[in-house]
Amino acid sequence: MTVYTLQAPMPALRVFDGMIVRLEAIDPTTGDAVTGVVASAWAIYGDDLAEAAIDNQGDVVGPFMLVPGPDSAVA
Amino acid sequence: MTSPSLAYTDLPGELPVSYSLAAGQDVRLTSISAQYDGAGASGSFYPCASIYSQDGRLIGRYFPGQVLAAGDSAEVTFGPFLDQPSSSSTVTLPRAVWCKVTGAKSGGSAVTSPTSDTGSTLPLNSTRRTNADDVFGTGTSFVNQAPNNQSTDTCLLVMKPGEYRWVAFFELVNPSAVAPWPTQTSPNVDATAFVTPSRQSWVLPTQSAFPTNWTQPASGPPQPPVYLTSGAVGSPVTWLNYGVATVTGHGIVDDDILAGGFYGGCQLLLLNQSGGNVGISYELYVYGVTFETVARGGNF
Repeated sequence: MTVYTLQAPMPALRVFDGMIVRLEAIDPTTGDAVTGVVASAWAIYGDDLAEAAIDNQGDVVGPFMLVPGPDSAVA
Repeated sequence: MTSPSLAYTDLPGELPVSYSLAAGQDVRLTSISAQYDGAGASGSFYPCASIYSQDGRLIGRYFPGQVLAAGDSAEVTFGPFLDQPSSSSTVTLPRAVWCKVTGAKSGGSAVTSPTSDTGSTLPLNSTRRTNADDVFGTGTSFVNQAPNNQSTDTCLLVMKPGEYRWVAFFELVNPSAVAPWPTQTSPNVDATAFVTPSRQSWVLPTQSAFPTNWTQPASGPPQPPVYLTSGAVGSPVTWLNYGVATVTGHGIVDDDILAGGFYGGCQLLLLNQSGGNVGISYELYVYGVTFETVARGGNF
């Protein structure tokens, strides 16, 4: 029995409601599920984009146009 | 502003296990970590993290390069730009290297023809300077080999595969006092550069620019000469009487040479075509880029 500490590449993927993060054990040749593997200490860490969306609600954004007021005189 | 946060933790049990993001959750993944225990595994496996869409379609499947055998266990970290260190994975990286050799030589033997006696080999190991001791060395690959056939032959060895350029400067000196001696007559300098016993290493494109007044030895390594002069064999050489001569060239050392136990080498010969002793001072600079294979690992 060998105990490894491994690293694997994974993109900084954006996931949101309804999407699924799944831990699996797959056969190296076929990709089929391998039974009998137990996982523990599972942690998912990421940037909370929902919080960022709330932060941005106070910003004034969008197209607008300035027009002369009633006191503006045009010679 | 985004805040990194721990989105989920669990002790999930037997695989596969899933975490479905709740309504309102919106996360850019930066790390997933888990421990996989294959003590009860039905076979070898990749410890894998997969992402599925809302309708259950596989979007991505990520796993390290290491296959776990049944019974193995692993702590696996998934993250952007991570890669598994491995002693079997290698990458070739360039490295700039250089070497400087200086010295003086006097007393080249009298010769009547370069094909019968070719003078003295300059001692290139005398004052070697390098920033990479494992790249440039000295050796006796040319001992008792043509064209010089001297037991005192030594040469500068290029010990790493790569591409190199070299330039050598010569100045005529008094053979007795090793000092500039502009009245010396008719020495010739043959920079027999970067030849190798494997007969395949060096290309000297500048060779064609010089007369090929040289007869290849019947045996031993090929000796592509780069002549400093345009004079015929045995004719007086005048220009070296009043200045510093320069020869340049470049060549490539490939992996085959190293694998075969041979190194590219550089040997400078001092020829005297008109008889009498000669003296010469010299500087040889070799610089290049080696292509070194190093273990790949860690994070990029």
